[in-house]
Order: sequence, then C-alpha cells, then structure tokens
Amino acid sequence: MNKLNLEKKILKQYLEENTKQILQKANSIKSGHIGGSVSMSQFLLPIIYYLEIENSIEYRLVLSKGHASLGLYSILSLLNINKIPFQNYCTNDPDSFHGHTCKNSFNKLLASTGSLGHGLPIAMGYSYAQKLSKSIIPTICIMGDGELQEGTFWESILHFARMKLNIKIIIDFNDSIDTDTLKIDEAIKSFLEVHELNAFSYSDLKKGIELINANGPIIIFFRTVKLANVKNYESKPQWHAGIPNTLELSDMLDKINIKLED
Amino acid sequence: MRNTLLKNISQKLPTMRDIIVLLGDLGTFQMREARSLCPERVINFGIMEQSMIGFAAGLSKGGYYPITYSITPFLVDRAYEQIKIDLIYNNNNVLILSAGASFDYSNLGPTHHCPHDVSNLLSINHPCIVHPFTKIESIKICDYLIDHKKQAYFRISTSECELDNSKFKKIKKLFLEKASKKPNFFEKYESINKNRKNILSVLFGPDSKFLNNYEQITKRSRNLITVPIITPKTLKNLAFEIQNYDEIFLFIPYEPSSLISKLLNYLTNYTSFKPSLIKAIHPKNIFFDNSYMKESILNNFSEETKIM
Repeated sequence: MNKLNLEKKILKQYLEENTKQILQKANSIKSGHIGGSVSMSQFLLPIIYYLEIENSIEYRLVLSKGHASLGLYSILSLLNINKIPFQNYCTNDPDSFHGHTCKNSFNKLLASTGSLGHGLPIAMGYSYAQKLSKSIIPTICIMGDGELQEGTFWESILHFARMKLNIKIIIDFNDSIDTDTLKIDEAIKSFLEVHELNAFSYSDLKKGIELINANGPIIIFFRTVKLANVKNYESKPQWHAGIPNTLELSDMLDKINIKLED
Repeated sequence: MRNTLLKNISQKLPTMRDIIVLLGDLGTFQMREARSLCPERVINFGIMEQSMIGFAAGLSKGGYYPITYSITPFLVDRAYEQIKIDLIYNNNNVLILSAGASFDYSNLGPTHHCPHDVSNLLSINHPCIVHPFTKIESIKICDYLIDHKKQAYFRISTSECELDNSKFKKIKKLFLEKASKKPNFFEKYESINKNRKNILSVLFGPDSKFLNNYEQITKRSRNLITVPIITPKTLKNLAFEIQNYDEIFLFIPYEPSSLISKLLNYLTNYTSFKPSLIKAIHPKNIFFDNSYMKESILNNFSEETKIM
C-alpha cells in the first residue's frame, strides 16, 4: 500500500500519451503552458495514479503553479478521473476551463490558482486547520522553482519550520528561470531539509511517493526539464507558453522519447 | 472601538472553537490573555500580510472562521491581490479587521494613510464593508459577522459619531436580516424641525462628521441616513430611499469613486427620479507629507463632487 505498483513500462506509456495529448491540445486550441505542464506531469502523473487509482487516499492538492493546469487536466483525463476539464479547455463554451487551474476541475483541489505565490499560504492554512481538527489528511502543494522567488514562499517557510504540519511541498524544479538572483535551491537547502529527487528515475519517483505517505512536513525538489521527453526541444524558454504550430507539432510528436531510468 | 472589539473577540474565543485570530504583530497586548488561553487559535502571524491573508483563506477552507488584524494599508494595499484571489475569487470567508481607517494614523504620514480601502475593495466586489458609528454598534455587527461567518471587511475608526437625539428622531431601521436582533444596514433619522427643505444627508461611517460643511448641511437636512454596513443590498435600499429627495449630500470620508458608481447603478432603476442635486463630499486624493491631525485633513482637504 505504501509503494507505487505501476510498472515502469506502463508508466512510460502513460507519460508518452500524456505528453502527446498536451502538445496536441495546445496546438488545437492555441493556448496552454506546455513547458511546465509536461515537466510537472513527469512526477504528478505517477503520484495521482498512486493516490487515486492504486489506492483511494484522502488528500488535498494545491497547484500553486496554476499555469500548469493543462498538465493536471491531461492527467485527470488520461486516468479517467475527470475528462471534462481537458475536453473543455479554453473553448468558447461558457462553462469551459480557462488557462489557469480552476478548483471545480478536481475535487481534491483547494483553490483556483494562477497568480504565483498564492498556493503555499493557502495550503498551510488548510493544513493547520486539519491539525487543529486532529485530522491526518495530507495537503500537497505543487510549486515551480521560479515561484520560489515570491515573498510569500519565504514568509510561509518561517511558519513551515515551526508548525509541523502534514504538508508536502513539491517543487517542479525545471530550472528554466534565468534571473539575476542567488541560486535558490542552494539558499533553501542551507536552512531546510530538502529531498532532491530525479523525476526521470523510476526509483526516485517511488521514493517521492513514500515521502508523500510519511506523516509530517516534507519538501521535495523534483529535478525536471521542460519538454525533456521531446528530443531537440528540451529546456528552451520559448516553450514555456509557446504554442506549437501544426508543422512543429508533427515534428514534436515524431521526437517524443520518454526518459525514465531505473 | 479597537479595544472594545478585541475584548469582545477575546471573550468569544474559549467557547467559539471555530474562530482563529491572526495578528499582524498588532493587538498582541489586547489579545495576550486570549493568546495564553487559546495559543493555537490566537497566532501572532508576524509582519507578512500577504501570507497572512492566504493562510486565513486556507483556514476558512478548512472550516474555521479566521479574523485577521493589522493596519489598514498593510492589509488592503499590500495584500490586495490575496484579498482579491484567495478570499473573494476562491470564496473563502474571512473577517478582516483593519485599524487606521483613512487618516486615523494621520501623524504617521502617508505610508500609514489608507483613504482608498473601501473603494478598492468595492471595485473587486467585496460583498460586505463595515464602518460602525459607535462602540455598541461595532459589537453588534462583529457578533453578527462571527455568528454567520461572513466575508467582511471591518474598518475600525478611532472616532465615534452618535447623532444628537435632541434634534433628530430615529424613524427607520433596515436590517441585514429580518430578525430585529441583527445589525442595521442603515438608520434613518428625521429632524424635529419639519419645515426644513427636502434635503437628505447620507453618512458613510463615523468620520463623516469631520468633512467640510457637515454641520451646515446636516442642519438644513430634513432627513439623515447613517450607513454602517455597505453590501449590495444596502446600496439597493439606499437608492430606493434617496429617490424621494430634491437634494442629496453623500458624506464619504474616503475615496468615493467605486461607492458612487455602484450607487448610481442602482439609482438608474428609478426613471422618474429627478433630484436637483446629488453631491458627494469626500477627502481629496493627495498625499499629505506634513503632520496634520485627522480632523484637519478631512475638514480642510475635502472636496465636493457633483454627481447629478
């Protein structure tokens, strides 16, 4: 129960299908942040598979990097949890789901997000409420590494270190930010315990799931790369929110090559 | 009003177990006993208003009713996006208590002034803005908000404004809810002098009394309306009331634009309504880089805007 049972081979197939449908969707509706959606899916897909499909574990989720909604909606659709948000993503339908994460898309989401730096305080507040109510439901907060520059991260972390909540902060560390600041991972590691995992390693993904299962506060840096699974398109700033045209899409689809070591 | 309210909340904390107070390093002295009695539910969250509002949103989502307390500009200006997204867009009800309405901290300078709080909150559709006229009214409204876990912005002023009973009689109360124990949307007063012209003065909060020409205009008014709570329902009812007057003076002791536009929106429902004058009296939108008393800013730097 505490371990991911999904076989590596099947996970690879899921990741391939997920990458494909994210790229196709972005092309067809001319919208979506494909870079962060694909990098986040690398670890979020097995996590949601474990929590929702293999087990039905009570948890709450905040997608603080709300622009990766396409990734979340794609996973929900692929795993047959809720197909509507992906189907109805950025359409003309008045009930369509817009480009940032909407809490109505998934019953585990605590908040609609989009503006960076809002997720962690909300997740902490919710988790504190759980602690007061003697509940052990874990709260998972997914952030991007760029978002760690927001003041609210540093503010919240002052409480994180003291409140001992059952909260899992998972950072999609795709390292695509190029600002003239300190190396933020080194800064965080200098005073907090951080678990650094490689999202392209099957055993690290399994380790990540074990950490999510453990009670108490956890910070995980999942090392990812934007469009790592599309050869020649890896880690290019233009694919943060860039939309592939039809030619680029067909080239990308040809070059999908899922990276997943043992 | 501040001490009264914090005392009221302190007394509720031991029994009302779904209240959590987050202090922005303000009010720690007044809340010290409550904090020692309920250390898990009275948190001095620190000087981080944005995270405090976000955290409050999470608490609200988790079934609690958080009360956040700090100085107005640090809550409303600095944490504006958190109020907009985490509270209003995400439907997380939180009671924001703010100290320092408009120019309460006048001597501390423009960094501590916040005359645009109400306007900014109305422009993001904040559903309930409170500025009580007296301590008694403040307790009544606070109890109501806590009992019903309302999304509310509570603007605590250092001044009180009780109307002179010898000159006006109370003729009408409109309630937030039907039960009479609930706080009033607004109260309507009539002058004991029946010969006055058909003039209405509307007071938005206790600081109205400091605005220019307050004395002269209210002395000429047949009726006065005090508005302690601004909700869409208040404005709708207010529009209904004011259509019957020739001249209307709105005393708004803060930046008035959003309030006026929302009120006008309701007034347009009354097509036969033809007042000769609607005027808003409000403070000028400038920075005061000198030391003025609050009364002096509101009185000497007030401006009259003709609306109709």
